[in-house]
Amino acid sequence: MSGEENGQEVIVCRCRDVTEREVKEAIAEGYDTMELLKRKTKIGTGTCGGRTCLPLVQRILARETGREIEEIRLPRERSPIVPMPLRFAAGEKAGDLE
Amino acid sequence: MIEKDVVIIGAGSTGLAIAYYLSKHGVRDVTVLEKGYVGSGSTGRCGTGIRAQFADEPTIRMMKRSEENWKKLGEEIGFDFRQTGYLYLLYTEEEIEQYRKMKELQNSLGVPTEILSPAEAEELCNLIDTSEVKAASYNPEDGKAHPFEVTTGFKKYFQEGEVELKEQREVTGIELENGGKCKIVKTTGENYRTEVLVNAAGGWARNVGEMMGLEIPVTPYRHQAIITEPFKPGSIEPMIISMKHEDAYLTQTERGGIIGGAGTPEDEPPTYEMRETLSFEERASKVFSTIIPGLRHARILRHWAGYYAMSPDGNPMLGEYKIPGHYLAAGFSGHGYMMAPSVGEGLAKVIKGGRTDLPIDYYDPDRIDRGELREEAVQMG
Repeated sequence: MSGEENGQEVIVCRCRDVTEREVKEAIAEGYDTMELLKRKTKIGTGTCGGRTCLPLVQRILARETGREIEEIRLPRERSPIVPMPLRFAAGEKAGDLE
Repeated sequence: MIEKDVVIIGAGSTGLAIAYYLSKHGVRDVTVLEKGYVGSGSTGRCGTGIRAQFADEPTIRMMKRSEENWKKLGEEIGFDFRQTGYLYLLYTEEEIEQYRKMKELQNSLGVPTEILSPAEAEELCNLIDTSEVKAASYNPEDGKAHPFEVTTGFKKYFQEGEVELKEQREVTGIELENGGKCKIVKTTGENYRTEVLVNAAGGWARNVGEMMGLEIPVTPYRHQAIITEPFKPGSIEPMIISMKHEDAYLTQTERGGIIGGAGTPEDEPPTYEMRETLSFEERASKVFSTIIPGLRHARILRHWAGYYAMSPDGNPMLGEYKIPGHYLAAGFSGHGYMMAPSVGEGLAKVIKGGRTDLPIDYYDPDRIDRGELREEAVQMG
């Protein structure tokens, strides 16, 4: 993959609209860990919690830097695992919704 | 062994700003050492806020200059300092009296704070529940900046200039020669020899001090923050503060999420632990959805922790400390990021041996040993 398929950009993060080209450019600038790429490009910070983009970016990073995928650590998992409305975090029950 | 005029430990906002202003004053043979990456400590974990609404003259003067510098820095190194104001919601006559006095002092020092009616506060953000709000304190020059844009902006600036920035270089030991005049700084990479050493290690300032046999009274307390999924830009422009609701603060980032935090319970001991806690998520959610009821439907995307590196009196420790040529820029007690540009300007001048009109002397670290504790700067979060 070149980052473009038939002249079209390839999206790797749908939540944040990040393309493969942008990820590759960031890697070339020296953002060569998943933590750094997350901060630079916003991958992994969207509503899906990185389910789609993190494995893709991990693969791109491995390929671009000549490392094995297993060597590339994913960003640290943070609470909550799935997006959670504040009212549930605040202790409201689902039935409390008017 | 590499000879340097100045070695700075810590590439958070403080260390980066000191390096920047040193280079502006012609001191360019500077290395900044960072054990992680730029902003990987408390800077990158901060609540993004920058304010001059304080209760004591030295802090207001430092912060007024900081805001002027933030603006210039944003233009020069390329990030947005968004001056969307800090809006303190006031719920009691006592609070109004206290903030009115602070406003007078702030106005006398050139900070244009105003006391607003609940209706005027609502004009700035119509999502706030103002049913119990009696007034609000607002300074339109306060604002926010994204810490990652700031730190990477500095990094890029240094790459094009002479200041050397070394990431992934942990300091492993410091040896003193000639009665401390000469400092040998050992790292996981190269070793450095310097006469001027700046400890800007934030929550780790104490550990760096120990390498020189110094006890630096800076203690890390965990503070946490959350961010929600993004909303329409302009939903919550000012930084909204409520001391009534657990010292909560919240605002919208330029990416659209609502970022904010609340105070740490007083009985939580100091810690180097950076894990987030579920009890914080619950407390923050309760206070946020009380201040802005609509937020109860917003979804939390992430939640993380950072440090307030506390000094004994809640004020920074700035200046030469115990060993000639050893400077401390630590103990910012939750205000390091916002104050970095004036700390950088002032300390760079002090290190150069020049004069500064900033009240750096007020923050003389030796005050702690002399027992001259300062009035604690107004804190939230």
